[in-house]
Amino acid sequence: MTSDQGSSAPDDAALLARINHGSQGAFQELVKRHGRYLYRVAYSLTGNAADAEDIVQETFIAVINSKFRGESAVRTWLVQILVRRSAMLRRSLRRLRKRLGGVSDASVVGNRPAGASAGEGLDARLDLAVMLETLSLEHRQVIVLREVEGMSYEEMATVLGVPRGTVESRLHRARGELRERFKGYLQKD
Amino acid sequence: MTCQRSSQVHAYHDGELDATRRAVVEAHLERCDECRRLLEELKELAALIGEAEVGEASGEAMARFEGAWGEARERGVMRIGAWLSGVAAALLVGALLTMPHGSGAAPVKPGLWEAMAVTPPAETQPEGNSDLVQVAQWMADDLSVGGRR
Repeated sequence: MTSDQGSSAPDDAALLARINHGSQGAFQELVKRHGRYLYRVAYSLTGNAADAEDIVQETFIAVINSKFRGESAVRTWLVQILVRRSAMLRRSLRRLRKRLGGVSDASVVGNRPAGASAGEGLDARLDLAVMLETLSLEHRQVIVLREVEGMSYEEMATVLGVPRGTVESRLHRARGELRERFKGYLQKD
Repeated sequence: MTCQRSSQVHAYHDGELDATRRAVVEAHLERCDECRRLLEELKELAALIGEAEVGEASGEAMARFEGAWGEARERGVMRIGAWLSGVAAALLVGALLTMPHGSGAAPVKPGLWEAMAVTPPAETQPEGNSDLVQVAQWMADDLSVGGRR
């Protein structure tokens, strides 16, 4: 492993190439650039800090042992890995909850009222995790990627590995669910 | 939603339409109350989500992410070790199968093809794979009749 002492800032693809050649310094730079962003995405998808940390950790481990082929933007590629890790974790947790007979783990916050993070009432700032908790995995993914991260439909299709049309229909249905659930918030004058 | 253009309203809201389609939807919005209401709700929903609290990574979390380097290397070494064990086992079997049985014929060394047959595809091989193939070949040589003491 070598320490990267380069003075000019390489772009993300160059960082990944250096990581593939064993540069720990390049990896640290990649974490600095994308760690917080990936954590926000992971937190939005999972709803709790512990799971979000685990997923981001696994994402960075996968990055070190993978090769970026340049078929998308680096950030899109990183989110693609993260989304897969998040889906795997969610499926594992669901199986575990079934085995435990419906006992909720720390990540379940869906039974709280949506405005619980800053106190009751429609004017309370909502907790995103609570807002999205009732959505299915696919619907949660498209809402996070579109509404939270501002990805285009094409980027979302790449990250999720589905056709663009699937992205659009999932987004329409997910928004429909949220519009129904948060009717009271949306009809304020 | 009953209006057939409602899906286009979503794409319009997301800025995914080209200029021509955008103009078509805008003309439609002037006539369709349902779609105008949908657009308004999409904007409000986006604002609601945009204002929602999202978790931020702590300093400890960021340090943990940097520590992924060490963990990844450990997992990579374990994967190479497991792969080498598999190669060694396969070559042992190959050598035993090709060994002559006391006929006095010249000993047959496991050829390079045996080594190559158990070499994983290039894209999954760790760096320095040619060295590992060479090591595997040496192990095969040692296991051959000519290599025994």
